[in-house]
Amino acid sequence: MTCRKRLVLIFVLVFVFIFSISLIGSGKKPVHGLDFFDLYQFSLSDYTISVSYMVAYSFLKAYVAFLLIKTLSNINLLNPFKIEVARILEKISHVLVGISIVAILYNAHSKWLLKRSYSGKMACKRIGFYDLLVFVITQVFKRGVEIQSENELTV
Amino acid sequence: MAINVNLDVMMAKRKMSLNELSEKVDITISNLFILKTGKAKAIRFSTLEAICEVLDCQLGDILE
Repeated sequence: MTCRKRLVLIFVLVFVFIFSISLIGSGKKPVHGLDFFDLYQFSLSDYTISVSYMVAYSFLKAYVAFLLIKTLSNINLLNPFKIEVARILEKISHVLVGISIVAILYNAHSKWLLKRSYSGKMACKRIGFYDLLVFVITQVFKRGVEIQSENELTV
Repeated sequence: MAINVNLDVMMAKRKMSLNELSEKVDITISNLFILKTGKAKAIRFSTLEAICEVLDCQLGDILE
């Protein structure tokens, strides 16, 4: 990632965080069914962590959508086994696994908060099984591309 | 250790062009070109046999 992209990313993350605090300041406004007002009152650090997870989760989902559009624009159904498609699909699988990790960390953080007598609703419903399945299928696809390339270069 | 393909050397010795070799061996020119430039990943024994027969040489003359 270039320096400029990193700066833009940091700016967006800070902006979203400040925006979320301003929403909280204006009153109780549930975000995706999750009421962060109570969490903000409970602990600012935990609120920061939770919002960071939500931002990371949303950003990664948007990135997957972007990669999916890129895949669909590059794919040719007559000959789909291209190395560029395999690379983009591999990226998608890595990002999906990353999303699962973020979801697992978020749920672990939520459970920890519940143990600390925080009574607000917090949950991220996500099953990592399908992400792992996509990862395996992507690796198989990539190997298929390599085998095709070897076959094409077999005289 | 890389394997060198000396197909162009043998073709020059036998004064044979790529087109001619392609017709006699029954392999496409593009495949022969891939072999000649060393970009081939694998070669079938049947192909090697056919090339050696047409060029009247040993395997060691083509592959080094």
